Amino acid sequence: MNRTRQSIRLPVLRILLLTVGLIGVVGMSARVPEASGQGALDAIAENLIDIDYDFGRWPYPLFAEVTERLQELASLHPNIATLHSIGKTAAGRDMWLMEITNTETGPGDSKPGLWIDGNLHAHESNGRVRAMYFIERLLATYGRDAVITRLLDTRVFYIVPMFDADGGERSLTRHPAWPGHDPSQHLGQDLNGDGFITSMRVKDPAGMWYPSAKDDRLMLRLRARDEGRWNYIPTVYDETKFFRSSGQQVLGATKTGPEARWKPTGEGPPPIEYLAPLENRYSIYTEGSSPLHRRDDFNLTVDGFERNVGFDPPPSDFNRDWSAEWRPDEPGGGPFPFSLPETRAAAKFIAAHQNIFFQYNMHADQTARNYTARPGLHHPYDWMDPEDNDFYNRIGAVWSALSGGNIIENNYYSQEIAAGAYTDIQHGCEVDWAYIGRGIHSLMPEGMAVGHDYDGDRYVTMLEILRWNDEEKDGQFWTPWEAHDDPTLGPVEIGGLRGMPPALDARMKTEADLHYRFLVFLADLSPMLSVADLQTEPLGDGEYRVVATLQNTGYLATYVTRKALEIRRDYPILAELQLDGAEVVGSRSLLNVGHILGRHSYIWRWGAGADESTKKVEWRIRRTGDGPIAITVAAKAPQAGEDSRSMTVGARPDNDE
Amino acid sequence: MRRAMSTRVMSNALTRRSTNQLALAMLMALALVPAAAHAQVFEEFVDFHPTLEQFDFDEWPYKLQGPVNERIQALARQHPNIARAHHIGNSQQGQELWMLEITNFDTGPGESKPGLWLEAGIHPDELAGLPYMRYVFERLIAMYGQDPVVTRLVDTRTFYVLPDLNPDAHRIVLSAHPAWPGHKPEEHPGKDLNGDGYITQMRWKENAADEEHRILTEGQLPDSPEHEDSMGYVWRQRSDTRWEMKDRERHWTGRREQPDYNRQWAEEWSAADPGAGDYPFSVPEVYAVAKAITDRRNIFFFYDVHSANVGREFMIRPLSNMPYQSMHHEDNDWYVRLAAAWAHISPGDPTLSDYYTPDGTGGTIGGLPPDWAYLHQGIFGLGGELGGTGRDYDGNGEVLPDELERWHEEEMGGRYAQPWEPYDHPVLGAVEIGGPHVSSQGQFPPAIGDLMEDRTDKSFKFLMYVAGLAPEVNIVEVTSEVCDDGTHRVSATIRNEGWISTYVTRRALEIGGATTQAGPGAALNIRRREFPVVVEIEVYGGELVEGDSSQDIGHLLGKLAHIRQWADEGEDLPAKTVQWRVRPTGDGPVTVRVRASAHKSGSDEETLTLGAQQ
Repeated sequence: MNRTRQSIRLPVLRILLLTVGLIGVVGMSARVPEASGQGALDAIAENLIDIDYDFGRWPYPLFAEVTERLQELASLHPNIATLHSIGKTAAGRDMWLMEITNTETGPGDSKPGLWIDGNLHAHESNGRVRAMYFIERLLATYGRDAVITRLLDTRVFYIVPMFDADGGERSLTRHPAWPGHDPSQHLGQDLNGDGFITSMRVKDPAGMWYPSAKDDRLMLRLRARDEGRWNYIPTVYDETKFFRSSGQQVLGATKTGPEARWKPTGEGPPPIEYLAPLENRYSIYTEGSSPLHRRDDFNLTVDGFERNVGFDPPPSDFNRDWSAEWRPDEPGGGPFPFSLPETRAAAKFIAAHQNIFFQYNMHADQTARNYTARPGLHHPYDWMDPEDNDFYNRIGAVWSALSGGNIIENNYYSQEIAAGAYTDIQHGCEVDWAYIGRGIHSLMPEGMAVGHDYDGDRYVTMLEILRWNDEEKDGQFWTPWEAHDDPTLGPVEIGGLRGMPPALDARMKTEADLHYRFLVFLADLSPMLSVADLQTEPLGDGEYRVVATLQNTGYLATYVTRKALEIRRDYPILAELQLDGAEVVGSRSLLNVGHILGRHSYIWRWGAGADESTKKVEWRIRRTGDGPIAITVAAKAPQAGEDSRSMTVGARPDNDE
Repeated sequence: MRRAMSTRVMSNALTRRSTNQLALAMLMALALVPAAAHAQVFEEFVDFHPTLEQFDFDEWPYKLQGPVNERIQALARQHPNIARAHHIGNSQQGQELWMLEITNFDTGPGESKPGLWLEAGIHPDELAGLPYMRYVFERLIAMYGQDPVVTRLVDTRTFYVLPDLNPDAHRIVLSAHPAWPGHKPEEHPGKDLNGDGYITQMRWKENAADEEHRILTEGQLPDSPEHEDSMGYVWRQRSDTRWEMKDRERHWTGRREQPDYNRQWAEEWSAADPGAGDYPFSVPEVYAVAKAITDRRNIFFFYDVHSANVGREFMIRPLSNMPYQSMHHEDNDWYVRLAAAWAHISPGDPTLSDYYTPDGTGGTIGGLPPDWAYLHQGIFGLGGELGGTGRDYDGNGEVLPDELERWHEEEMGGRYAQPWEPYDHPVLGAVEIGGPHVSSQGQFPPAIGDLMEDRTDKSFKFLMYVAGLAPEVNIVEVTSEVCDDGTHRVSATIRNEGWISTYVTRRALEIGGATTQAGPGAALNIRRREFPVVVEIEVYGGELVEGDSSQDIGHLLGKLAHIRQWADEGEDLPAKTVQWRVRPTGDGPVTVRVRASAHKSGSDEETLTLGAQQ
């Protein structure tokens, strides 16, 4: 019954939000030349051609299969798809990048580009499916779908479906029941022979876990309220003192006890003693693992960061290895930025492709609340230049309209930060590096899509996932807790989640479709350069003034971000005058035109009446003979594309002298 | 006993020195607390070395990378017990970077001992560090077995020496003239018109009445286009404003300035800085070095030699962008003491951070390697600005340009310049060709002759001094007693005999330890940059009934930290005791082997047969 209600209610919500989004985008695009901004409207209007795709598969395709499919696609669509290996992973796998653009309208690097990567975190493997779906749908609908055709003619997509190909492989071969399983690659073992390496829970007053009051199968992590902040309770395992660079001790021994200042008046959750008395606390280990290898990654998917199971050398988090605001004390930060071969390869490719104006990193945080992170992860919004900030506000409204209320935010404002649970984490992330280190726009969507939103509150909680598992999936992703006598730990219970996919079925399809539409919309926001007009004016003595009008018909300014100007990673427009029958006088033929604002920036600055999409460039030329003069003006800026326009001035008239 | 001896050595040192050195030494005595303890270090590491006489201090131009690499490999072949050559990466142009690891491999692999990373040549036009570093490995190897200090240090420490981090630029600089090996005419502006082997200068007067000459590089024409060859490549690596390309120009030409290898290190790196490069460690040479360093957890000291300007020699310490009080006071204290030692060894030479230098950029340089070593790796980092040319005629401690000129005229016989000689130029007419053998370094070798010998000797002694400060884990004693139930109680006492604590820097404790932070990524919170002392026991003929076979006993303060905190308590160094209970499993003797180790503090091992007396 709930579901019926929801299916009625959602479209209403969606239409409401759509209206908000359309005011934002359509309102701005009213005055601009057609063929730009059109994609955005189409994407929102949901008339992009779809394809059939199998979202029910689990485990997802492994490296070999994805590789084969990429190679097949590249050979099926030679004009629009090119497969590159941009480097080797630590284990020697190819890091595949699919370049998609119509090469007949020019090579990829002559067009504004988007970088898209998936599966950067080992266990967030639905990124690879979303990326493959994106590739498949672009290729299949090129030539049939007007929006896609226009985009591939004028933009380029660089898509890396399997960023951490090694970790992704390990994550997708986690369980003995799955194809390709190699026991030596994994922590723990399948003690009860159910084909899955799940978890062992053991009663432990010092443990960090307690069963949920709503469903005692579900284990929750301890939190306690202290001094107005939410802190994780340190256990015996991690009680070591830790000093932040400020010298101030944080997250140290947190006082909890009966005196914790909780009043049953509805202000905040109850203290932990109330929820989880000592006799009801557990420690959790990976099934069959030694307590020495105790890991706290019991969560929606059991796999954590799978790179180095033995912890020596310490594992690096692929999303803490980028140089932006990198810190040596960041968990997972590795020895130094770009120390991983995969991130080095990606950074090298991106730095070598000045045409990339947008970076999109598809993650799948293990959270009920899907959201998209924007750069400046741990800064308040006024840290960012107001113009760049405004851009994120606007695309945030569109994403909200598309997705029916999902948000674009950053960690500074996320609930963990606000609650003080993580005071200062996530330095050296890819999404920050794109903005801070390259001066391009970027987003990091977290797209977990599993379970079902039974209560229609737009959050799929663990309880709903368990219910979905019970009611719709025959309980296949859960092993009930069962007693087991462990030689080291004594009596334990084995059970818990087993290989839960980060995304599956209908929710995954919706999610993948939304990201497809949003990316199409984002691609359309690039700066787009054209030579709108070319005029000459005789000056006498066989000399002429050549005036070219350059126009940025795109949404973004040619500098893309104000940050790029600040860090000198902006690429201004160069206009070159090519002459036959005349020579340039008094200047170079190649001129640096600087930047042209985009629709976003001039409307943001001066309101809807402004139009600063054009800039004039002038040369003085002099005849070198008596014949006609062929004039061509070619303009280019890596992130705004290239354009040229030609004209001819007639032969020297008799009375010219 | 030890204290008495130290005092004697100190007074000996005082009587041996000349008057101005005496005053300095007295200052030192005041600065070093307690002076006696430090004097002992000086005795060991500074005062009594035989020097290396067979090193060619007069070689100019210095060796190119090829012969240096061959030498490194030859040394490794000839001295396999104390030297190993490592190919750590390639330069942008494909030259191989070879690093020489020096330690006594009979006393354990290099990674089991405290390590020092010593490198030079990061800047394209600063060459003095190249022979300095070659001198370091030559002397370490030649003096092993001869010099007791070198022998002890090579037995107990590991030296990683990289003589040239930037061989591409140096190949061009060191082949500037046709008379020099490896010269490629297309890489250099001008031409050797008169065939003397040097591209010097042409001078002429437009009119006879002119007071000043017009000057041009030999073989260039007045309307030569802006020079855009590999010398430009060398220059553009300098991030100084002198060489920074104007933004507009970079768009004209499609080029940026080259990355400055000394701005590539992640600490405070900013994309906006001149010379920053695409991203930190984007330059393959810098990446190779960072990887080689972080792959070796035993490295506790990083040293990087520059030679920017004659006349101003100093050691560069972190923090480049912040005042000293931004550093943890214990670490700062170490640098202050180190500075005193350097000023003692090289009288009067200061140790500064860029934040305080008058010609520094006022605290805006990001991405410097000594700062990276300290702030990001938690080890001690230091840079040297060292020259070694000319003569200090007026004895004021600095060799200034006029003294260089005088030295060149009086002692070198003008060998680094050509006399002006007439030449009939096809375009310019009558000109004179001559002048100094200018290379991008300037007109004289950056270090040569007896001054270089003196400087290399001092900097070698200084490095030996630093090596002597390393933390040293030592098992003081292993004892046992028989308990009533027939088991043995085994105790091992572990002490840090070194001057530096086992955590090396307080910064390492801040950034590298296990954290209490839980949540996503908690599994990644493990010790990464500070490595505590681990004590392990192996039992033969018995079994362990109490105590873990492997125990993390945390850190042991070094003498400096200990003295600093409890100066009144004498030499009662911090030690920790570990206990086990062992039960014999048979009738035979029970033997235990105790091993204590920490990545940056070396290791020690003791074996005890239990109840041997009974």
